[in-house]
Amino acid sequence: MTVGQVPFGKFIALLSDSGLRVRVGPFNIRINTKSVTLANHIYRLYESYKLAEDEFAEFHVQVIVVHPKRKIFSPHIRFFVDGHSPFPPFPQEQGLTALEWGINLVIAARVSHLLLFHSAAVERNGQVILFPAWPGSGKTTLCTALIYRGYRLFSDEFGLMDPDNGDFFPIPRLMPLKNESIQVIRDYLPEAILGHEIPKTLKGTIAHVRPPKESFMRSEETAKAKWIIFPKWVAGSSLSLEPLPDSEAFLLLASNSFNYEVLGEVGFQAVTHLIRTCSCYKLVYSDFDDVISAMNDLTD
Amino acid sequence: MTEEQKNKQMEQREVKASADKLSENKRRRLIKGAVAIPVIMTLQSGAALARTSNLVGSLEEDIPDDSTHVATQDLGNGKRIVCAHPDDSEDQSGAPPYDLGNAPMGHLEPNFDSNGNALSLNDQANNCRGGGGLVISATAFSSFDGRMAGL
Amino acid sequence: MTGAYWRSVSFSSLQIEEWGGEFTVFQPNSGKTHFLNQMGLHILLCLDRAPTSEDEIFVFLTDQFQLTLDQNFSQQTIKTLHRFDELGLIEKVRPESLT
Repeated sequence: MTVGQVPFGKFIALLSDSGLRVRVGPFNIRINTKSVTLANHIYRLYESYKLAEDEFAEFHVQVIVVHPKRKIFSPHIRFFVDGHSPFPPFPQEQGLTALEWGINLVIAARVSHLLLFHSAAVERNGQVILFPAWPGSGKTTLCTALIYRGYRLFSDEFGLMDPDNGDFFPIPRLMPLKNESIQVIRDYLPEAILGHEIPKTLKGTIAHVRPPKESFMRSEETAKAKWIIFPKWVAGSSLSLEPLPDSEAFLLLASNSFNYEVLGEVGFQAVTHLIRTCSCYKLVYSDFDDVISAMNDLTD
Repeated sequence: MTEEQKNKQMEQREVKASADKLSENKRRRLIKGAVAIPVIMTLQSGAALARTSNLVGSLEEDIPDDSTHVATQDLGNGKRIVCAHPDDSEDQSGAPPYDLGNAPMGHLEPNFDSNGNALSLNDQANNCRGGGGLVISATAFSSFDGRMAGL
Repeated sequence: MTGAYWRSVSFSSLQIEEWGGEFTVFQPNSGKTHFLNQMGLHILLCLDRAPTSEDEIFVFLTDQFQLTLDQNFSQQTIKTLHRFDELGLIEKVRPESLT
């Protein structure tokens, strides 16, 4: 059963009372909020998330609206995980960003049995492409274009790898487009479903993309990576896809991991195996048609 | 010695043998190239830090590139912002200051992007904050000296 | 003058992977990963065979890599030796302990 199949009244009751339990990749997360505004956004954008009713939830998150006693202060919201708040307060209208960033933080800080790369990951023909990137390199925008053109979303944020066998776990979630990327995607993919624009966040204006249903339906199908591509969007550039030396890819990938050092030798061996079994490239692009065509050629 | 240890030793020997056999091409490349000196770089990434409770403030202002106030590390390839992660199992309701907790997390922000372009300290600080991290002072960082494994 | 003597520390415990003439090295004692070029690895290999003086290391490297020994090269190499020392990959040997 998915969130969209739950009647709205029951959905609101779950969120505000015992919590809405959803599957987020290999984890179950219980979400609790009494904010009706946030509930409306979640109902629309989480439509394809699978419910995890009666299952153990690894993370319990809450978004609470705080009404200050003194009227000169406006209401704000706070994000809590297992009863503790890792962030300062957010403006009330930023509930969805607080929830999504909060879940990111929880995954990044707490998952220690899997190797966690800061990377987008998509799948085609049974094999995964990783797009490790620094913030601002356009991986979420690229990922959005690809998943609306037939690629299956694993994640726009986390490459989640089992270090024992090299399997990657899908963890499809909302994807936060930032600033100019929002209009770029609206123009290129009029069919893409985006949430409302949230201005003045720490990263500027954010609008969340709802990934296609198929990514959620197949979220239990793991796959191995075959390509590691370091993308860079450069305005007006022609497409270039050049091999990257393995040693450089190793350093870039390992230093881009959230928990490489925590895993010690296991992390070293896992990254070594990953680089040895993947082809690594540097990608520079500006045009979505070009990059999708290049990715199709690579993955055919 | 276990089978696994024997295999590891054999692999190690093979690597040594391979390193001993420098091809003429590689020698030429090293002689002609700029790397005719021994090179070692140590990789840094998100790392668990070991210490008891750590209360820190966060720096919210712009960080100029010549700042000595902000915590940075230079591993031989330029200054990188130390980005601390507040511990979500600690009560942060009184923040700031934030509690990095008993097993706080931190990482060094990349100082270049995937295309090799340098990132200023301020860019790094914004990237750290954007990911939910805290930019901390050099003083706060030095109080962890020697007890921050990996940083 | 032969300079300080050095020897490797727990070389056999290192996990070494080659990437076309460059090397990633995992050091279990510290949990750190290092990136070395050929010459960097040659220093470790040399010091794993026997304690070696700085002068002998310079000669070994310049011979292996067909270089001319000059002050810049020896200074750079000493700098690398000290970095190796800081990382716990090598250590100084007291001359009196050499047999």
